[in-house]
Amino acid sequence: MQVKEIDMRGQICPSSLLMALREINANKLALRSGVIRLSFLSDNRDSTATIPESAANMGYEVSVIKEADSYRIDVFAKPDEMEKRTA
Amino acid sequence: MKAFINRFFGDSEDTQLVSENTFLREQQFKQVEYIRRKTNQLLMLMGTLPIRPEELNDDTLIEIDPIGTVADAFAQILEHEKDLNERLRMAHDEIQAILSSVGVGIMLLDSSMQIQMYNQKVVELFSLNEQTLIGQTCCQAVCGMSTLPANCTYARILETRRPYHQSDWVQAGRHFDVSGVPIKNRYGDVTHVVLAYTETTNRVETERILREREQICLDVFENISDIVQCVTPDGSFLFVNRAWRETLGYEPHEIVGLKFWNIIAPEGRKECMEHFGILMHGTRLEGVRTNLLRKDGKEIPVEGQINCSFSNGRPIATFGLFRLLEQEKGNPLAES
Repeated sequence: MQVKEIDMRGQICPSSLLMALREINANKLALRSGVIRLSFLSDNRDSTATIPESAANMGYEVSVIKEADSYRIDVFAKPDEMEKRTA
Repeated sequence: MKAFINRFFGDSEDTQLVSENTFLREQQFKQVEYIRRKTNQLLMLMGTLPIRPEELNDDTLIEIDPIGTVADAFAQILEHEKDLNERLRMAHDEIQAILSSVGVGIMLLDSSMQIQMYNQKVVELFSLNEQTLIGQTCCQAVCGMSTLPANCTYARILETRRPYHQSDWVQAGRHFDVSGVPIKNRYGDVTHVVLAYTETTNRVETERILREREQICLDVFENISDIVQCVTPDGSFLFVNRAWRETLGYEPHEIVGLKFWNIIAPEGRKECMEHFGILMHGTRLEGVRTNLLRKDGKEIPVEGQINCSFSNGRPIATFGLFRLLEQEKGNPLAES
């Protein structure tokens, strides 16, 4: 699976959310089929709530990992969604 | 004259341009404000903060097209919701099919005791009117009461917030086993209760008849003059009759804890074990002669028959019927 990293450090919500949504929209098909995983780097704590919640509402799986100076928010397809799309 | 001078120097055109520019600026300001307002409305719906003016200036705001971005995101949300609704509908159909296929009556009640879902079996069990069932309280529909009845499984579950099983719940002369399970929300509050009813009226009646017949058998065995004993595979006594107790000198309370080999004379124990092995294979023994040991140590010669009952291929108990041999008959306590 290809990983696309988007560095949003220095941005705060809602700009970071809008940026994340643009990326998710632009990569919708690749995301849904499991070809790509979007990895957002953010140092804004609010983004760790708004981006995962929005992405989950859109039907994606999300993981948030705390790294040294930022958060890594990964957005990817749900396993059952991938199976459905590839079937 | 002044107008002429202005026209000559182009002041009138400038004024018109200024006026037009002002108008255009106002229009753009209104458009940008509209975009901000609508964007913020959508962002609030997405669960985030509104855009601060210092965060995105007007030019950037138009360039990044936030309304388009959020609208595309909403399109995906709606697509996901549609998919989710389809799955929920399928899950609902599956649950309904499961409810219909089981042989017990099932109802789903909400926290106000109102019926939210039911299967056909529960309608048959309590002759319910399906037209008015949804929204009716359980006590109205099933118990025919406006208040909670005594021994209400639903009330017990709401009180303890735990699953509860009530065996032999009686309603209108019929017997039921009732099992209930609470469904809780993320805060641990009971939002729904699932109740499952199994009618046991036939089983209860059969058990009553069996108990009566068992009592008749026990009365017969208790009053015959032959010695009767029922022994489990571990040697404990399930039943001994009065003749047995009187012949061997034991009181009823002394039978508990007594083992079969305690009443067999030492020289007969080896043969007795052989008999036991034969019985475990399902063979009935007749004409068995042995010496039973009285409580006071006196040996009592007896003759009789023994068989073994089985359940699922496993021995349950041996049943022995003995009579005293001639020299003991009539006076078992002669030498005691």
